[in-house]
Amino acid sequence: MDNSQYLDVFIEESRENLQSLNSMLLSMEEKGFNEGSMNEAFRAMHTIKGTAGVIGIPPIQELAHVLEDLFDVLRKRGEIPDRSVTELLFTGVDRIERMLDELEVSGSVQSSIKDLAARIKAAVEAPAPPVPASSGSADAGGEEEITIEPEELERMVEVLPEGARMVIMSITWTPNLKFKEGRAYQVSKALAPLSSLLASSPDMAEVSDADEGLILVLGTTSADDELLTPVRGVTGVAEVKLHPVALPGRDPSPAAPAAPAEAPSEKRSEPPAEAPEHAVENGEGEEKRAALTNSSSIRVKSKLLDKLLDLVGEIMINNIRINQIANDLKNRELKQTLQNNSRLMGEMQDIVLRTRMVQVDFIFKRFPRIVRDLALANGKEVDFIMRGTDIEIDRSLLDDIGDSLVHLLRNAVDHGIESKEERVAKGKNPRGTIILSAFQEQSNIIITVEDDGRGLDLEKIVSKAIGKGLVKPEDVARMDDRAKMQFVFLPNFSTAEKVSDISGRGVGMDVVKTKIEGLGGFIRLDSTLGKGCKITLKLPPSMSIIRAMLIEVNEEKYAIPLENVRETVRVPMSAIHAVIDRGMFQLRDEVLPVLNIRSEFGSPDGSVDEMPAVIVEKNDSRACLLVSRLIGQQEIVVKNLGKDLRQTGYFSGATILGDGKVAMILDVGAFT
Amino acid sequence: MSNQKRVLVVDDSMVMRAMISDILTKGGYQVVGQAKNGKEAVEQYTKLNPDLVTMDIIMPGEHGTDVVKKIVEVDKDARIIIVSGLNQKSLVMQALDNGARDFLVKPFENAELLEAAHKTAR
Repeated sequence: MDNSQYLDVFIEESRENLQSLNSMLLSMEEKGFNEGSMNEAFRAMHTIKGTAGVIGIPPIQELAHVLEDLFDVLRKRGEIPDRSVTELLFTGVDRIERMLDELEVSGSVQSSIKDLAARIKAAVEAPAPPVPASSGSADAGGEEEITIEPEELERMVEVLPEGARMVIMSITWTPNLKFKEGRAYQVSKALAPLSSLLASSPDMAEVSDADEGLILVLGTTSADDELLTPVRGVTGVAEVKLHPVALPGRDPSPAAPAAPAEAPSEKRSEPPAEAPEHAVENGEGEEKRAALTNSSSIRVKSKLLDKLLDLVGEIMINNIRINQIANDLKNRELKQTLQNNSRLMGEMQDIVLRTRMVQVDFIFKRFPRIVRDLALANGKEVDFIMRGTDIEIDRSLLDDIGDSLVHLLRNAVDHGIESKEERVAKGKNPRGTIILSAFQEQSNIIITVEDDGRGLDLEKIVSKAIGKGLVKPEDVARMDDRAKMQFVFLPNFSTAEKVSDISGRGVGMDVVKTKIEGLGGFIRLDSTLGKGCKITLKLPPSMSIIRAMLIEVNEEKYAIPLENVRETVRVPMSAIHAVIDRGMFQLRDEVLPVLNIRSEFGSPDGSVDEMPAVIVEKNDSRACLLVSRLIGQQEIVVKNLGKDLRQTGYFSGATILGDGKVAMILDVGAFT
Repeated sequence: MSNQKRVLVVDDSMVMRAMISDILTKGGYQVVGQAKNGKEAVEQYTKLNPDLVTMDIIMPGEHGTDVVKKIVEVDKDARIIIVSGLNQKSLVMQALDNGARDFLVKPFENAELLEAAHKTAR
């Protein structure tokens, strides 16, 4: 059977499974054995093995098989494996990841896993180490703790029908039950007249025969028995239990029986209605949370969403053209209908943009592993904390900044955090701390990487910059600290004394800066010698549709992103003073450099008394752009430029206007 | 009057019809009719008004999913167990949507069939 059409899905699903394996291993390494996590790890590996078998990738199947065996042994042993076994598990997970990469590129896997498989097999067969009397944090009775994330709870409370209470139903399947997805479907059908399904774990569409049970979150006004009886009647249901959920500000329903101790949530006392800034800190690894996913979500290929967004953009552009035609025709009915259409399209655009949003956790979750490996390799001890992992960001943007964030984290571990001895000598906590935070500021997403390490050594940076001929010694004297720090963003600048394994192949801060600015964001560096370093990335909410100011210069239209526009003014020519080689214009108490883009773009300067101008700003510096005409504000769809146009440095992109003509988007950074 | 439950067995395979009838008969059910396609199934159902139907999901002509729908249109209280192969999961869901009460996945044990019959029959 040819299963090649499932290859993409297999690769994607397996990567997700590996990701959760990584997080679970990390969490156990930090917090000790947890039966739920171990079962989850076993299940993830089992899925990989099974699907690799069906798709026909023997090396992955084989390796997953021995790893599954090892997880099975470990979960039965009920304790955290020693370091050598943990390393073996990590190595196995990494190897599968590499084979997936190979598979993606070449369509097949050639590499041999014999050695590793043999090592894992040996570990499976090795006798269990003696169990100390105090060990075993495993839950008695094998109950998994059911946790609902506060924000998830909040979402569910919103859709909870009035007067309904919330209950968690946990179902255990009979062993060896076939086609559990169908049984789960029967359960949901049996419950449908009595309750509304708010969430489930696993997602109803992802129930597999590897599952041991099913957890449902229900909103209901029915009594417990009314819910339990029909579910008990479904074939394959071995056991079914109900646990009440305490809702913020409400008492658990009196209709519910006394709750077993494990239910529901350790986080229930947390009010869920907090602002996103106060989001979970889950960087320190957490208990296995039953990943309760909203049952009404589906998977969509991100390429399709990209295409959809493109189409919406084109339709909007077309709409602007139709509007202009309607204006020319002066047909009132047509204009009114079009107005209605515009509103609908705005809504549609909004929804399409929202479908592309994913939580930053989507890529953040692989970082704890990276930081751990780096710290280990450097012999450093690092606490890694992530904040705001639930902040939503456009998927394409997130994919683009992933590498940059890895680079910043690597810098923080490699160069920021000092060695244990050095930290002790400085009177610091021997364990360093790195905090990765995401939060929203107006419409922008801010991501910061903060460490409590040694900070930037400005003297070292300056001497290096001079040594590399990036700056003249006499110029340095006139520079303030902030300007000196900017040297690290110059190409080929690196104070690294050694190159680390992870992504550290000569990628410098300049690449990060170029990347972030290419996305329409900016990067800022703050540092205190001996105290630490903080890097702030400011990103636009979505890179595809932005608000812009349209201007005209010599009958050509250009767009300036509205976030770079501070104000518009009219500038009398007489108010422009020549200072050295540039024109300067005093606006209130500020002196701004004047740029006449008419001459910048190679056109003769007409003789006028007064010109409209846009005061633009970027990265705290401002300039005054003289233009022929201000057109107004509108939403534009950003199209990326080819390399040649990008290299001119003047433009960050292009857009298509209502009349079908192309307008370049000015990169304000080139003028300020 | 016997109080045995009366069953209609629908399957295009003679072997399956014989096997299912055999298991049910030994389990105390009375197989009152057999049908090998959807048309026959609806005819027989209307004529016999059985307490239980076992229905193969894939048959020549109409699929079991559609036959379920037709029977349920005739009798809202029809008790139908879908019998499916391993790779017919979406059809099973569809049959459940159309009003089938339970399903069985081939190959199944005798006890599985009898348990499903016991739960589902009127």
